[in-house]
Amino acid sequence: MQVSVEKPEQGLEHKISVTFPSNDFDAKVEKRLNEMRRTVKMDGFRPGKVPMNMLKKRYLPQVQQELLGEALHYAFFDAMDKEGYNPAGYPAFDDVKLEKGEIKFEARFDVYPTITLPAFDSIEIEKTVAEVKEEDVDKMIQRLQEQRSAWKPQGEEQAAENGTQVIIDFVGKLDGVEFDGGKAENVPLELGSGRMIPGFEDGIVGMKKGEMKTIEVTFPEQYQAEHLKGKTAQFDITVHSVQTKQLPALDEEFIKSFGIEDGTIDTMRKEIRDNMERELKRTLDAQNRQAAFDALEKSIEIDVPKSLVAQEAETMLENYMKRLEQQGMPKGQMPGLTADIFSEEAKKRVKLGLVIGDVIKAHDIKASEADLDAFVAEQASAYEEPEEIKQWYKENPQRLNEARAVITESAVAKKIMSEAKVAEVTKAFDEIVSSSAA
Amino acid sequence: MSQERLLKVLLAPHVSEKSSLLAESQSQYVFKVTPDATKQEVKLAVESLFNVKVQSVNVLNQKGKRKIFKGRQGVRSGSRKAVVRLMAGQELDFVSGE
Repeated sequence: MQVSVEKPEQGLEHKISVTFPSNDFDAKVEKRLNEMRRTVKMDGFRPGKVPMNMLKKRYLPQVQQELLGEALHYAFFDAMDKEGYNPAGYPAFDDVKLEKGEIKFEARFDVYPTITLPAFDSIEIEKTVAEVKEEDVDKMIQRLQEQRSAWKPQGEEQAAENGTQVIIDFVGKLDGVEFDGGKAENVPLELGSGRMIPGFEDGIVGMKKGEMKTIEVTFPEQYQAEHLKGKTAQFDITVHSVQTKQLPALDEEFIKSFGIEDGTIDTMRKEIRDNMERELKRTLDAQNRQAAFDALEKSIEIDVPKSLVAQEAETMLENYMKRLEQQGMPKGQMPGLTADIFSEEAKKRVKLGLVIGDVIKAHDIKASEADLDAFVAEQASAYEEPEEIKQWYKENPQRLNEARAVITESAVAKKIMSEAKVAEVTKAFDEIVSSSAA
Repeated sequence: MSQERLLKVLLAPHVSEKSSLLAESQSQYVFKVTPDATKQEVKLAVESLFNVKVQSVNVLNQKGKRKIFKGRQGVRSGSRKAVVRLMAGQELDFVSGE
């Protein structure tokens, strides 16, 4: 095998040209043709009786094409081994020539960049810290109450105001004539919710049970019904009842309905607090890890192998497509996306992947068995049958590997955190959890 | 003999197990030809179209099979075949197409 590599003056893209004997390849082609011969059908011949030379004339190029990819792949990586390169991603084959007894090809490939890790203490990171406060627990309980709230009809003296619900009939008229879709009976409407056209709810404010009134409302210019745009309509409104929101009392029953056995407020607070703390820890960890990695990524300037970026972008595109499909977008209607739109993000990811890989190597970070066990146990604790989940992890080596990856990643983040310049920022619980949810 | 006639004489190569055997072992090639083709015409046609030298030509008439379709007797059309022997060392290639 003859190999010559052309090094670039700049960047990572190398050129290689390889010539190798085609004995193996020819033998494989011959073998494949022999296999085909038994099944191939041709007019004028019984199956399996087609002469070899006819078969060759008709199918040789096709078979060669089929097997060439594999042969090139092996030849390329053999050549890489021989020359001591470690190619990143898959090479691009340019010029392939089949000659008698020889195959020649040229290929372009990227190598992994050499990374010089910066001293971690030169990295600046904004670390977010937060804790669950009593007010946060209060807020959470209030939210729970609101979720369970019910509407209670009020007496005649209660006037409709923002935050109350009214049950109404309404008839909409345009210049004295009823229009389509402008009529409804017994509609519950929460005032201030903004579900109706602007002005409609305002008109109801102040009305009482049993009252009737006509209000004038102008439809907005962007209204979806063509004939109503910008028109002013009269609505005859009858209020059947005015209801206010009733929060359930914080009593034993309410607490028990959340599955808390002894029904005391203290247990509930503790439970909620625990949950919130777990949630907070998770988001904080994720956020801080991201911050550490972002900072790390910014502190390093390397050339990123193009082929890796292209691969990553392809994967991202695929995932994106899958997500769209899961959301119910039919395949044919997919917008004509190309992997290009992900290339920036992909570049970042590849770069980070390379850098983190290097950090792991440089500092010999590994996931120990104990760490792994702890991680699995923690994951399992969030489920109802922790033992089953643990078992499941054990039976899926792939999952275990994923777990290992997560552990090493956070170990890297910790390492960076511990050595870098960390500026702490305190934030409220709501701010962190809701921003991560958004 | 006009060029026009020669272009009409050969109808198709006859591809079969037997014909490929013949081609391989004694460089004889089988063609379907027009029913009124003569050996001489076939020879000239093959020589001019494929640019080879022909040693000899044998011809035969193959009668169509008798078939009964919906109770009625019928005959399929027959065909005339020519077996062309080329000079030693020459060959024809129908498969890869010129």
